[in-house]
Amino acid sequence: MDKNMRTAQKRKILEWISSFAFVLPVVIGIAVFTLTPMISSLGYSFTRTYTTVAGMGEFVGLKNYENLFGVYAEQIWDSIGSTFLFTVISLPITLVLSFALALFLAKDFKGVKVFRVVYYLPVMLPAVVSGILWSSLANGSDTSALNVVLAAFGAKPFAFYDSEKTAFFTFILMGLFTIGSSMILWIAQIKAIPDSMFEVADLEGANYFVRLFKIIIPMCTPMIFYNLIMGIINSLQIFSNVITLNIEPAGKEQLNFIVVRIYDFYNSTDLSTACALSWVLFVIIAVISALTFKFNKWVYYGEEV
Amino acid sequence: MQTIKSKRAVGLAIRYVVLLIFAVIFLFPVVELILKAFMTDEDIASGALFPSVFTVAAFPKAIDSGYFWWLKNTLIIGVINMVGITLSSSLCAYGFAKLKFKGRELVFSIVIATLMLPSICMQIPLYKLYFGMGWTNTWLPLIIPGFCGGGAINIFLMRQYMKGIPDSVCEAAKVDGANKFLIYLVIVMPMCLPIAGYVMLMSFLGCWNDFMTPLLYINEQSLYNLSLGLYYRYVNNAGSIPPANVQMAAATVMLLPCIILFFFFQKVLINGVSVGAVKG
Repeated sequence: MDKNMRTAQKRKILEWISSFAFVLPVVIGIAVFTLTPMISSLGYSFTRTYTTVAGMGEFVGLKNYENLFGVYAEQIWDSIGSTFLFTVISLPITLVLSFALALFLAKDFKGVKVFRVVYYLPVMLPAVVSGILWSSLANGSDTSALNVVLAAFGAKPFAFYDSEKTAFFTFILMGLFTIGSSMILWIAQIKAIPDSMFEVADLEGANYFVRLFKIIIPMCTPMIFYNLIMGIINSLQIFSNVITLNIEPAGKEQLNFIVVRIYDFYNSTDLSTACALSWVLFVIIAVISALTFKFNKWVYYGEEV
Repeated sequence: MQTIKSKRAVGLAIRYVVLLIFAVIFLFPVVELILKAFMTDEDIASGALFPSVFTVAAFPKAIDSGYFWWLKNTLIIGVINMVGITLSSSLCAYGFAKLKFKGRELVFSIVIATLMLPSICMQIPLYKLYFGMGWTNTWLPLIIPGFCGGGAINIFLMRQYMKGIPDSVCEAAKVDGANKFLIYLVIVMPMCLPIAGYVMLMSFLGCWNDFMTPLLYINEQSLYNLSLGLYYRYVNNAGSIPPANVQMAAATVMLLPCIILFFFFQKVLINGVSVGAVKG
């Protein structure tokens, strides 16, 4: 009897191991490539560590954080300000425009696929290609493509990326070319709304706006929430699109987002300050995400929840 | 009757006009990229939008032996990742979708939570880890993480898809004496080909476009991928940067595989997105 129980227990453990083995890769992956660096990053942020020297440097307490908001304060607040400004301006425009496009393209009509492909095309541009392309199309010279187009409409040349006054605006404008990625998600969500809902609405004689505000938008709230939270997280980490631009320094200085600043510290071998700033960013993202999750009562997850 | 019909026609016309205007705007950068690649130096200098003569003169200047070398590197890394990410994310997804074990939900929620972590927080300290293990200036940082789970998004999508496969199918195989791995290999995976195709496509493209990882961990010119090679040639180059037609020629060739894959696998792509959207 006792023996039977032990073998039964043994079998249970073996059963668990053989199941767990399937998810082992991701467990190892998170332990090695996510948690270890997260924790060591926190560790480095309390030391004086350089990328060029092996191992962890001497412990300096909160010195790096004091530096961030002391010696570097002006630059850091500037970066935080630009990053927030970018997020606050670009994210709502992106969400609204991509949703509007999706409303146009969710119904099947002749040529709809071609339009979807065309709007999604700029999303396919690799970061480096997009950087090279926009540096050439949107610089301030009279011969840049955008200025040639402006001239054709009789407008004066615009400085675009080459002036500290217009670079930020240009960057937001160029970012709008990638709304196709959210658009595709909206289309999928809108197409998943059961036809019966629209049929009922038709019977009731609802007009387009009633359908939009009473059916389509409420049914899309999970996707609004997803796009919103991922949009916040991604815009706060904007980096590749900036560093791949080959533009006048005056313009590039306006695009001094937080991650660009982190990379600058890293590049100048100052690993510990880079880690400290990345933890500041992490806390900012965590707080904003938590707030967004807290106020998600408006999200409709279907009947069963 | 007549008015309803004409009203509809007007509505349709407005829709097409709006969509066409947007289409022109969205196509402009990509078309201009390709057109500029076929321009002469004079056309570039004068700021022409359309080449006065089509010439391929810029291509040999852009696509030299260095370019081919980086292209080869990118292809190798891309293919390895495509296999690694698909294999590893499908194994994990199978564990989360079809096997029942204690702690499953906890592990899965941790996996999803990693989506919210800013990648820069990991990438900077990882430099030290890779440096300590002698991985900097090798391809290991670009390859090994893919084999370890293949990313939370991919696991999530695969799991969503696998949940759609009825448990009874797996149970039947179990009764017939198939073990868990055999069920994964012979029953679940063949039914998951659409989503596996999507994950493969996205992981290849992700690798093709990856810029941040090589930027942080690779200094050796012979190990660059195409992104990094073009970056040091046309963006961050202390010497003189070649004219726009050469830049655009290099960019066009890099963009070509993305566009070809996109056109051929559009359906796979859009279906893959819907899996996450509709069932998420």
